[in-house]
Amino acid sequence: MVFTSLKFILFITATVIIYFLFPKKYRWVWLLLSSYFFYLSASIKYGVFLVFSTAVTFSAAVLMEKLTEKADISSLSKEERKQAKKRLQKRKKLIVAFAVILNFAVLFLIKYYNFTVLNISALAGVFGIEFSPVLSSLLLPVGISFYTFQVTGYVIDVYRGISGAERNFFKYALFVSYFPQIMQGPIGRFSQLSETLYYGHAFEYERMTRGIQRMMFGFFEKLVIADRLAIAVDTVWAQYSSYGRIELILACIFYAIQIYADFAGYMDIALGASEIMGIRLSENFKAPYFSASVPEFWRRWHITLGSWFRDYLFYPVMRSGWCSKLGKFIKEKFGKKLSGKVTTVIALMCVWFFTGMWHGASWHYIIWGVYYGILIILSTLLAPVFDGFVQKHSIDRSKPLYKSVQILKTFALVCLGYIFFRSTGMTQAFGIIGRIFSVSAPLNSPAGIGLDKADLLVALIAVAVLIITDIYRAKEVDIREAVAAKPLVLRWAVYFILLFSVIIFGVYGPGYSSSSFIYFQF
Amino acid sequence: MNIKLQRIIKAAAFMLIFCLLFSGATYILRNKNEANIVLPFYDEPKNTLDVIFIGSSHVMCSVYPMELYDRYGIASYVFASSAQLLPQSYYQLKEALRYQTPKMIVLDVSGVIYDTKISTAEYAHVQIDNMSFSPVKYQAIWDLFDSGSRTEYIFNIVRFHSRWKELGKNDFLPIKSITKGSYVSTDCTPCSPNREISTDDKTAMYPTAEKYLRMMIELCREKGIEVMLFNAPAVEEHESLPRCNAVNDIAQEYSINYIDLNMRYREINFDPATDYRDPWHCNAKGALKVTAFLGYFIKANYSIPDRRGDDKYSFWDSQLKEYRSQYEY
Repeated sequence: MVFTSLKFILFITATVIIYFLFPKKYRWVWLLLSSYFFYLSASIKYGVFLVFSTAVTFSAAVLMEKLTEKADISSLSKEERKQAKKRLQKRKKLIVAFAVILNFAVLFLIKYYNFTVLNISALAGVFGIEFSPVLSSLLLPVGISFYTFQVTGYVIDVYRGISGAERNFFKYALFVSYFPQIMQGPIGRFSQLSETLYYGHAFEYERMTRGIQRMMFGFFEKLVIADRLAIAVDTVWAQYSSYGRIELILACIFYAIQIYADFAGYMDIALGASEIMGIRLSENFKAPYFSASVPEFWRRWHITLGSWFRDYLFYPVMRSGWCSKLGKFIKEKFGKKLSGKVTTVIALMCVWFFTGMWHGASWHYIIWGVYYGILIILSTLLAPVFDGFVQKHSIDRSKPLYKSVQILKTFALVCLGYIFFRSTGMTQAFGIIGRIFSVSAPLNSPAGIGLDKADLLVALIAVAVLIITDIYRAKEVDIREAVAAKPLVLRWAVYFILLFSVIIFGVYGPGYSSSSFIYFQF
Repeated sequence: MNIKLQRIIKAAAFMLIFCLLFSGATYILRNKNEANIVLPFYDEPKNTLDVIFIGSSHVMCSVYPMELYDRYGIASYVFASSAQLLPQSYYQLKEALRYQTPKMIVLDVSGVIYDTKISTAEYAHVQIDNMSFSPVKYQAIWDLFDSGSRTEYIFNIVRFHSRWKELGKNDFLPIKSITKGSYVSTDCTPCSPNREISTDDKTAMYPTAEKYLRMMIELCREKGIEVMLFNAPAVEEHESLPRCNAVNDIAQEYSINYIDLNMRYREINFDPATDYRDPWHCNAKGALKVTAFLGYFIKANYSIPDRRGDDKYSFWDSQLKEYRSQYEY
């Protein structure tokens, strides 16, 4: 059930109405039922993996908490207490490791097994060892990358004592399967989500209207902007060798806007739908294309994925025994400064390798991740050099021109990265980059990019609207409140224009081939 | 006024404005194919039509109700749409009977050569989009289309919203026509005559076509309406004639008339070299011959009143005048 389908609109309408008709105490039960209905409507088979992940992490968390409760160390001596604590920690570590490994094993088997064995086979071929690997035909359950991260984050939080274990299996099942977020996130944290999810929220008129407005804007982003630009992007990418540099650069920019409008549009629909029921989900974007640096971009783009990697991969790698040992070794040999830098670089490369891999089992995703890793490492390592340069030339960092140049530089780097991301393989990615930077390639081509002037005009106006709303978002001004403060005629005009822009200018229906959200595949 | 009531009124007003804008946008954006032929049916005064022709473009191009009135005083309408198959015709008939209580229904059976419920989505839209909002329309949508495509017929803006780029003056003007459902054309494509076959040369009807043909006949019987089956001249494909011949069995079974002018075109001096607009449709010259024959046959075999001179039907006279001033053939 795609968010932009009529089925979903009917589903969300029914879900919201019944939610508020349910006794407050049991409203979460209704959410669980509708979430499972939503998820299983994609495929009943997918449910097996979801239930498995839910059951494993639920049991692991409860077991860890029970072990902690059982461990009565008050009567023990200080030394014995220390030993008992150590033993407990070890047992908990085993449990959390078991739960995390089991979940990632499932993800690996489904998502990465074929990629891995094919690469091993290719590598073996280089050494003259020929074998044809047995390939898996398992279909990728929708949302598995998202909910696997959410459940593993949860057990690690319980292990760390950040969250208590949820003792009600069904309540926990709702945390994992909550329909607005299961397919594409935001990747929720139990400590933040549980309270808002299980609480029986009362109906609030203002909140409902705000939620609907946010959903409408999500539809606008997805159907008017993302899916319209996708037509041009798909056309140029499919036959990149027949296009000139201008069209290729334009396609990269279009793709950057497309993927943002697509993903942020989904988020606005998910967060808006939740807001109607009083449920607050984490924000996943904060006007990312207004970032002045690549690290800042990643703090404002897919925020919940970035924070997951920070908390559950970057810090654990930094604090791991082997990394500390390596740091110590470098510190002794080359000094403290380098030691810190090397461990950070290692941790960052791990994060960005896996960020790339998380997006898909393909080298172009890995390269895309590594590309960001290199950019972020360079910007961290070269920060003092830049600072020195800025000081030496007395550049005023607060000036709008400086900021604009930084924003444009970041956007250009992001667009370059998207070439790897959007391409179907490395040949295509390098083919496009090669053409963009090749002097012999034509500047432009007579071939159309799939959008006529009227469509381009609509796209241009819609993107201008997106930029304006992002300026508000960047300034943390609530645009919905600003519109709500206007006189009734004016604000209704805004709502109707938005609504009918989606209905008339949206790319949907038999006139267009239907497209799903980009992040569905991850 | 308390805040709750205020909000309810506001929400209702918002919904009302939305519905008005939505129906306006739907109307403007929709494809207007054949709307000028079909929609005036709804402007006919209730229960004034004595004969209604139901079917496809075959009947739309070969029967001119204005001529039937002028020559025989028959008040009729061709309530048809292009490539309309028999299952679609069943709902077209039901829709017609919501507004009129005709004495006679003439069913175009050219659709018997197809085994499907519709021909293409585009043609199905022509029929469904020109139907008024009624339970019959939704019954038709439910029955004729699979679950994946019903939405675009319930809300045709789903299909046609992309027409915003190609809107013209006609999309904003009210739809008018004086032809009473017929398509008048003076174009000519010389065609060869159909091959000769005997009435015994027949191929069994397709189950879907037969089912809906029977349903239509039985519906008319239930309502005490005379039914006649009809097939207009068309340069048929090789296997079509035997398939149409099978309709004779149904006609005999129900003791109703079936006129297949593909078999009897010589009787009406129909000349394939001059009377076709294209190989499937009559032009005005052909249509006059078909209409004259049908008028004669209906008058001779059914008790259909002559409405000429009837005060209640004086509007037909003024419409005929306008028709004559607009069409010359």
